[in-house]
Amino acid sequence: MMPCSFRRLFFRQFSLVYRISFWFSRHLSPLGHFLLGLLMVSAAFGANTHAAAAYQLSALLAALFCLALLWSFFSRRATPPLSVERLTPTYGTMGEPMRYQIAIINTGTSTERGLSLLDCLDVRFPNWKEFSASVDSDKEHRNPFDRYVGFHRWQELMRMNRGASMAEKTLPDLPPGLRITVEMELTPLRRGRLRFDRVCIYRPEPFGLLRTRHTFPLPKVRCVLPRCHPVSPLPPAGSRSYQHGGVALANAVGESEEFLSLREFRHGDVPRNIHWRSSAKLGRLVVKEFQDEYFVRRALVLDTFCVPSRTEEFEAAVSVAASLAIREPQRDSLLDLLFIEQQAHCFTAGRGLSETVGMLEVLAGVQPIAQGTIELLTQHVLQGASALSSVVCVLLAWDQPRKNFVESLHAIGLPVSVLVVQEQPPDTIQESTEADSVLKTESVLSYLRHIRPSHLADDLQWN
Amino acid sequence: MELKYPALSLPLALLFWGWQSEMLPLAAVILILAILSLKTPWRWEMGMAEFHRVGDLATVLFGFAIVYFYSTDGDTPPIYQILRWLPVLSSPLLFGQIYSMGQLLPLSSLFYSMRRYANPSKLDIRLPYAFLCILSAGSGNPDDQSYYIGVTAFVLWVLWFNRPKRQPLIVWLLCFALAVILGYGIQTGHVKLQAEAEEWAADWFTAWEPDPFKARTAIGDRGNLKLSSRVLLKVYSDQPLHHPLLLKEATYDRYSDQHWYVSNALFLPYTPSQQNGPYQITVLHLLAQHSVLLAMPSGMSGVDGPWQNDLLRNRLGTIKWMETPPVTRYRVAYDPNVKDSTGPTTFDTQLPQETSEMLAPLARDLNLRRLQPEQAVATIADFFATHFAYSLDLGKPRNSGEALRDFLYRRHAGHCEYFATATTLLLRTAAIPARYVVGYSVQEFDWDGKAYLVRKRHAHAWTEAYVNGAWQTLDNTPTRWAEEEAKADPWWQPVADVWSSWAIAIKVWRWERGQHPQQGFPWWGWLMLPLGVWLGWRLYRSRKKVANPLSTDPSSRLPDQPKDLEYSRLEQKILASGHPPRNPGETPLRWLRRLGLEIHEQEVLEFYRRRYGGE
Repeated sequence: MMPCSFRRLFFRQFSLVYRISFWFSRHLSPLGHFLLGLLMVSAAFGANTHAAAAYQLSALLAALFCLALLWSFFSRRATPPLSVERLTPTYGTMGEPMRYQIAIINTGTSTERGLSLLDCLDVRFPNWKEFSASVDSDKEHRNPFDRYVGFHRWQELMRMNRGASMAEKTLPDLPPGLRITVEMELTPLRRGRLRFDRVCIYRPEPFGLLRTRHTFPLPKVRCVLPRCHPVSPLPPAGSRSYQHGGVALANAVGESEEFLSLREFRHGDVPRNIHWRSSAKLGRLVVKEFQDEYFVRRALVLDTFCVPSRTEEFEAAVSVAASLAIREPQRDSLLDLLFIEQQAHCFTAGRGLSETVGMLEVLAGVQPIAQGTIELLTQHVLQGASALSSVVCVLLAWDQPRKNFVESLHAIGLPVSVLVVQEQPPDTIQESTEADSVLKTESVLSYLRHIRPSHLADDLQWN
Repeated sequence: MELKYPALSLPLALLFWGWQSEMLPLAAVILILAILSLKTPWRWEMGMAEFHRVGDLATVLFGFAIVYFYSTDGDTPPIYQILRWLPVLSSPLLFGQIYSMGQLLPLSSLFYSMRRYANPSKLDIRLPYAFLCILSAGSGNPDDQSYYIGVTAFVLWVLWFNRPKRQPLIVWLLCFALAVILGYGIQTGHVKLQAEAEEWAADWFTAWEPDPFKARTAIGDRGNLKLSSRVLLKVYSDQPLHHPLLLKEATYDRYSDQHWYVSNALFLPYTPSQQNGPYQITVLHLLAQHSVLLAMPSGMSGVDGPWQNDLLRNRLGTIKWMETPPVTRYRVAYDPNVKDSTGPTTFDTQLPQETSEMLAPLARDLNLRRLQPEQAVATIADFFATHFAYSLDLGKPRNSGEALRDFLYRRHAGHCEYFATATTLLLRTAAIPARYVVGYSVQEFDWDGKAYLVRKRHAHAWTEAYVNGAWQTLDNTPTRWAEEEAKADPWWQPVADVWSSWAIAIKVWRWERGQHPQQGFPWWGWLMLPLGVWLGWRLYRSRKKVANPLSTDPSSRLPDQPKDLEYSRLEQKILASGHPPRNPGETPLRWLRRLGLEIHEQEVLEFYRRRYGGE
């Protein structure tokens, strides 16, 4: 086994390798890549000019690349006369295509031809701490060298830091004064902030081997919401509770639902709410958003105590919490999201306070914490328990501290529903003989359900 | 920007390769099979596994070619032979694509590491294959400028089809012309640079090894050889050797300033006799040199080898073989009891003045001048055996002029060159003609190879003295010198020996195959033939007849698509003229109206009627 210093040495070279490969991938056209490879092979065979004529091929290719390089170098300063504008939606959803437009106007006097466009996201290189803590999801398919060096892990971290993969678009010819709109699409790979940085326009040299990059800085930050899934209803929320300052809220009590607005379809929305006419007009699904008028107070508790190796399960837990968050306000008027991240957080959504999307924004930014125990969360929840009608807990394990947490809630008379998000079934559920793996045990729990991250959509449908 | 395949690239490249590599029949076969794929409806259903097998077949062919070309010793280096055959070796990849159901070649068929991915990238092999042909055509005559012309034309053809169309045509053509001129300059410069480098290297090697034919030698030359255990010779003896056999490589008769020279060292043509002797050995010389000095035992009576008037010999008996093959094998008959009785010359007794003065005290002590030649020889032998030790570790280098004095009067230790030089010079002080001889000592028997191994460290020096009317061999180096040197072998020497014996066996095998080229159909061909027939039969049976997507008849092409085809062409035409594309959800008719292209409305309405029916 090679010592760790070798791994560090490799790690330091990753960014260099990335920069070089990025330069080649962006500055060489497919034909340029191909001919550069041919140049190297022919140069190897043609090294000895007495043995073969291959050196003549390498000489011609070298001359072509020399001229192409010179052309690219001198044309770097001549920025194309273009005006670029990016039109993005406010939100995206993790794992779902996010469509937006880039408008380009040719402000020059001649037609711009052969251009291509790449929208770039801001990305930072992972540090050693992040790299050493990362886990390769495809470890079993790697050879021992790849497993040791971990370049795939580094690439995965880069992808996640960037947040989405962007494809290059070839632009049509741009006559002077014409404004065109390029339809762009990206699929967010993670929730949180998506930092658009710049738009790059690539201009080829005459041979089409190399391309000159021209950058248009257009920084913009957009929020990627967690992915949501349809959720079966949880048990009734219990009795309504007295709410501090609830006079204004009490005016809204009722059973009817009020139309609020239209918005883009997000995975997990009820198909019944799709507004078909608007969908047909826009070419993508649009749903009606309602604001309910029924009002009890429910707490949604998210367990954030997670070791780095269980990132996938934590993401699934956030997704479960988000799915519950967009479902619950339709039944209850207020929903408190409680979790610990550096400090205790409580975010309330409901009529008159904030929209569900605000809660999704909060969930988009929540991060796991490696240190700390569930007791911190227990104290935080119990402080405001008197105003709650019921509690829904999204937990990452079903161990004794978490059982104690649930027991303490039950002891003060709150109905508690627990969703345990982990791949392996919790002990209690393993011992269960019930076919649907729902368990009512020890009179502590009103509802316990095991959610597998790999079968998230299925496991959230328990009816 | 996609990589476009320019029409006719593949046929042109194949023909160019056939012409330049003088493999036109093979190029024609591949070309006919490629053209046939456009005409025949036969196709093979190629899944990922089948493509991988095609890639494996190309790899096997490539491996087979490497083994074959490296095992035969032709005029062209193996790497260029492989380059010449590359289009044939990689043809399964081309046929795999063009006889598939319109699929492209997955890169996993070329790169084994990509086979773990479910959807590897794909490649249209036609253009890479065409360029492979162009590269392979470069295995031909390096001085033929028709290759450059052909390459220029082909690259022009490919770049033309893939040009960005930003610049005016005249600018593009001027740029390309400039590249052609610059390319010509680069290749001319490359040729000149190589010539300069070769000249410089030749000078450097000459400085490093001033005398490849050993017209002189210095004390220390043999000592350097003793630092390596590399096998130089293999000696097969008909009889077991009870004593180390000395193989003489070169003899020297003039000494000056620590160097031995040959006087009148003119090499003349030599035709060896083929007489038999009581002892016979076969020597396998394994150094790849253009010319070698033959190592011969004393009392050589006849020598037999594959030479034809290539031997030269000087008056001291040193035999040189010019233009040797990579492996040199010759058989020598000898009788150790037969001594060379050619008389000495004045050079054999000459001593430089300063050397004579340096040896005078020792000669006086040993009383050499008053002894009979036999007694003088014995006295000198006794003197070295009694007072001297063998050592390769001579400590800090001393003034070269003083090395012999240091050996005789102070250190009393040294290696064979010191003993041989001192013996020769002391004999001359006693007026006995003597010569300095270098060669090898044969003493290490390899039981596996049933031969004696002569390593570099077995290089040796000794003396020949003219006593009793004949040249006698005198070796006053302590007899344990070989054991002393063997101790310096590294611990991995046995492994290196096994590797070396394999390398020697392959080298000899290659050379022997080259000496006796096979006539007619090769034996391995008879083994491969049934396999080829079986593979062909399997391919024939697994074919499928499909509508040819490349047929020229539009009615037979893609039966469900003609309705869309005309509209698709119209759309391409509009996009090519610089109009923005259709928005998502926008109907073709609305798109045309948005662009103000109502002139094409009828075509779109016709497309609607064909596609959806009604009016």
